[in-house]
Amino acid sequence: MLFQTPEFLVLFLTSLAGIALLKRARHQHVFMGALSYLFYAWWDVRFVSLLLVTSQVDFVAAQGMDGIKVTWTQRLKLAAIVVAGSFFTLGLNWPMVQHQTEEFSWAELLDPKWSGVWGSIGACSAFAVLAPVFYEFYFRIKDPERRRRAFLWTSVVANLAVLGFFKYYNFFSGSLHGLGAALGVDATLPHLDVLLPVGISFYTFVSMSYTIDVYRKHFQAERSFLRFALFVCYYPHLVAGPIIRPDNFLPTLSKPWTLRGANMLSGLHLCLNGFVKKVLVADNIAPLVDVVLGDPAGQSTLVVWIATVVFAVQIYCDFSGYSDIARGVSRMFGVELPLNFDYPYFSTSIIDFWRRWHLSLSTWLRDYLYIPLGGGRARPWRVYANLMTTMVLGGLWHGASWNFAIWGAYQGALLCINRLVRWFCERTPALDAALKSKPGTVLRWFVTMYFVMLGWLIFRITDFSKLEYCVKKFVLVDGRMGLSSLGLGSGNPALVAILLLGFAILHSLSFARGRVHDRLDRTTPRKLPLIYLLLAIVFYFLWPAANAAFIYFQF
Amino acid sequence: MHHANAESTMPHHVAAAWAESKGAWRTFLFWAIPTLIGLAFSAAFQLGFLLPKFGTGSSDLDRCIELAKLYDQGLSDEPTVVFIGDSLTVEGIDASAVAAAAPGWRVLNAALNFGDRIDQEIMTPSLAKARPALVVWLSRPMQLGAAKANLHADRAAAYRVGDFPRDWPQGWLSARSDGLSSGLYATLDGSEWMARAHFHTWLINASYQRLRNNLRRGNIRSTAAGDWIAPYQMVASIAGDRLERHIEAIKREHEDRLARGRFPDSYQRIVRHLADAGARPVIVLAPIHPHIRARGWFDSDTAEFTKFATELAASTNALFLDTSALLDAQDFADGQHPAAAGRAKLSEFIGKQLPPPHPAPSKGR
Repeated sequence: MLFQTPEFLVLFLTSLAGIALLKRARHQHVFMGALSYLFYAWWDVRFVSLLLVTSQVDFVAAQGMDGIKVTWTQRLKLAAIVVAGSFFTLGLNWPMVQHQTEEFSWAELLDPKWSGVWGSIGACSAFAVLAPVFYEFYFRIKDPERRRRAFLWTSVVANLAVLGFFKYYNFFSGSLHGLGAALGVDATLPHLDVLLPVGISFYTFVSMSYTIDVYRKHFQAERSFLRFALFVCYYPHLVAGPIIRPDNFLPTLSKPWTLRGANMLSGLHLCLNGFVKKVLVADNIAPLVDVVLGDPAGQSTLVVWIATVVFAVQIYCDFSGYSDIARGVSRMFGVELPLNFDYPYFSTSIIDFWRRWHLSLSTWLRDYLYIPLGGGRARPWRVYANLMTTMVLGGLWHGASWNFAIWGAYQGALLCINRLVRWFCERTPALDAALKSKPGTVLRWFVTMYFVMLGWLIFRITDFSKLEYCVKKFVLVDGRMGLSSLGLGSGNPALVAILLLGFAILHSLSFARGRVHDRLDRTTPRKLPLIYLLLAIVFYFLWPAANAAFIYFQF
Repeated sequence: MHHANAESTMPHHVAAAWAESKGAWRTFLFWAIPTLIGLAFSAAFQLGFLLPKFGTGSSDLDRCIELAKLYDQGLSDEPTVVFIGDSLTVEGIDASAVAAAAPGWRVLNAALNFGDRIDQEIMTPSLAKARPALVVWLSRPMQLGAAKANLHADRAAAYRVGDFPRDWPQGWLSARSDGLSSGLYATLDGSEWMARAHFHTWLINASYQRLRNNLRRGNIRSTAAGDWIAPYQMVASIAGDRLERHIEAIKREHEDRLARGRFPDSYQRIVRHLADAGARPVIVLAPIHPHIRARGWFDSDTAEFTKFATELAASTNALFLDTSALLDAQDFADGQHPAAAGRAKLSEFIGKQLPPPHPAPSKGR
């Protein structure tokens, strides 16, 4: 269910009606939780139980950390849900979780022909027995700190195991096989070819942030499973973020949500901003990127540069557009989601870029990975090692592919170099002053963007021979100025040029004078109907013929 | 860089304050009503004025709709030969040259750029119903492989506007057919109104076509929508490195399609349906560029296609013509499309191979 589809409009209006009609907080939570699970099931009903199981494990672990012992009745209920969920996800329909039967079919689900079904039932039953045993065992640990740590590790291992299995198994087995072949050894793991559940990286991180915050005593364990499940599955953030933290969301559940006029207007403007970015800009410029970077053989440096800049705008508009729509929808419900992008293409250093790009992920990595590793306060070599580790893992978070690992390492290396340059500038006041002057700032911006763009090539192109070609063309200028290869495939270069120009002007104005949606909030109400009417006309004629999924859904 | 816009989390501005006083639902309507008016106005303008007067904005898409009209009217009482296929046929067949070489035949070039096998499957029942005497299909061996890509959404909508699905026999195509998806099938199977509304992209299509025509100075394939005689448009030709790159791209496409699966049943079904409807199929193995033939890249697949086509022709009273080695390098404009000399040679060759006409079958509708 994409945000730009009629189904989503129905879901959204139903949510508004539900919040307006249901006055009690608990009823609203049940209602929004059900709609969020419906939203997820619309993508793929197979993985709904996975979401439920993840929530269950983290809920119980956090309770344990806070020393709250779940009653036997609750335990039985939870075990039943976990077992049923695990079985439903990994057992009964296991062949359907693999690429061999990508199309979901209820008939196939209810009539399993998989020979391993009994083995699966056995494994799930074993889990049903073992889970409460472990749980009871943890409570026999007398030292509260050790008990808390045991619960934390259970949660972390469970989350990473789920993420690792569904997202990285194919990658790992493929890489192992490749390595074995290179060394002349037969290193083959069973071929599973598992499907990737949509949004798994996002909701796993949301759920993990909760257990880690509870462990660190930044947040008390949530007593209501319903509220915690809603925190994890709340549909505006569920499949592509922003990655929320417990203190962003759980406190809003302490009283009923109410619809307010100011939030409605401001949320609508934020959504419109997101739709302009996503639908008008990103989706209309995407075909040109696909044509050039999909098959770059023979393209000139100029064409590779153009395609890279277009991709940079596409990925920004696509992802920040999604974040704006998510935040706008949530704001209309009365819940504020965190800002995810803060004009990253106006950064004047790589460190600055990572303070502006995908903020909810970069702050997550900082708080839950970089700082626990020692952060920036350790010895220099350790700081650089921490940066590299964080960024390589951050790169792999985006996808199970070597190009993402390389992209992460590239970003880590740039951050290390940036720190070194900063250290050198601090000791060379004349250079520091020159770089802080206006021409120096422009130079820093240009250099930063050059390396950011080069990074986008690594991010976008998964085929190494194509990547090598594009990187060579990007770095080693070939002097060919012809544009004849643009516009022969799908993609409309004139429209792309107009949209890029429009985006550059609006984005710069927005950066200098304030965000467009905030300016709409500030304008007089008299002007708004005409703006809405004109926007509707523009949307009608420039809405691409086919709705494209958001790029970050694949992560 | 510093910017002047730390985002406010709770709006307290002029319009926001006004909205707060009006309440959530009235604010929602305040946005929804002008938006709906704007959308209704745009839809009325597009459906009532742009589409009837200026078409879809793309001559290739308009050609799909015009083709539906041609088949719907039925072909004339003259014995008619219809050429179907993709850009190779659009560029490679001059219907008047075929007619000159095959006296007594009325010849139409009904090929479409990007006209893959799935396009032919969609249109075949309507073509059969129009009662042509001969249907000539220029095919490359890769036509037995998987679709190049799924049918484009614009194409699906154009076929629906043309109402091709009306003529499909029960179960002719489904969402699982090669080259279709559930969304594309839903468009083909959906309402005509929705398909017409799909061309709200008129502005994008028209500006793109104009830009292409201007930039490429007439050297591109923007086929005139209703031209069934000389739809070819390509004037320029490529050589050297650019030709080599094109040949490499053709090789990649060929290998990719055949590696992703084989669909002989689908090809057979089209030929058999035409034969059953009284049209004699003519399967033509299309010309292959001498540089490709010299490297032997497609030899085994060409032999497989020849065997398949010969057997199919024998069982359906079809003709099979092999033109794979007919053209020399100078007859090609690029790695696969004939230039003017190649077009004349190919059209004349096929025209001379056609059987003499019999009286046309009676009109189907």
